Amino acid sequence: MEKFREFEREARELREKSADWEFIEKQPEPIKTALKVLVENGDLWLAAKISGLPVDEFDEIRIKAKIPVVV
Amino acid sequence: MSTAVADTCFLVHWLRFRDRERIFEVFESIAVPVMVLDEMGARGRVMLAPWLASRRAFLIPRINDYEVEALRLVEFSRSQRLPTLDPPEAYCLAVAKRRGYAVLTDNKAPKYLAQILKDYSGVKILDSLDILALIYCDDLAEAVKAYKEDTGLVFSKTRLKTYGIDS
Repeated sequence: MEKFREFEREARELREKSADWEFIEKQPEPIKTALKVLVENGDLWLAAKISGLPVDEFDEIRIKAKIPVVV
Repeated sequence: MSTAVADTCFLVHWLRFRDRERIFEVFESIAVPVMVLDEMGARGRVMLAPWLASRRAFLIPRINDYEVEALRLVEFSRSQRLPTLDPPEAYCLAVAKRRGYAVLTDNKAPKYLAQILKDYSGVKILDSLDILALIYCDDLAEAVKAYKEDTGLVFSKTRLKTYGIDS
């Protein structure tokens, strides 16, 4: 479990550092909140649900927001 | 050659990969739960259509037994404070266990859950790096680079090291 927590910490740092915050702040709600949730917890499915968009459409916005999915 | 059931996030990314067809060098067919298809928008459905039309991919209907089992898995992961397991991943796990399929997912939670739950220990769970490694033995570093370019997905340094790649 500790190994997983360490991975999550590193992944979150990478998402925070890579994200285009100016782009994120310019998005309408609920997209903006969904992108912030994605940066925080890395859960693409949950973030897409919050955005109200299908996963692949939300993922296009995720790429524009420069938020990496870390595997 | 066998069948794998694909989770939404894995499928969305893999379908964007330039060499996506090569997955059929590893699996004969890809099972797609209707629940997963419903999560996909126009682009994903268009990309998936040739696989469905050629019958290399097939749809799995919503089955109450699987949905109940998926809910049990979601509740278990919550109660044990395990990494978050989303319903489509849980559904894929339930299908895989009952049908003897592998699971394709880029999330950590299913792999973690399978390590903890004894009745899931026999389920093979693979992410995109595992699949790339199976396809590109000698050219894995190049494949990883291409996958990153096409999908915006990043592999952790620790995982890459396990495959002999120093990023």
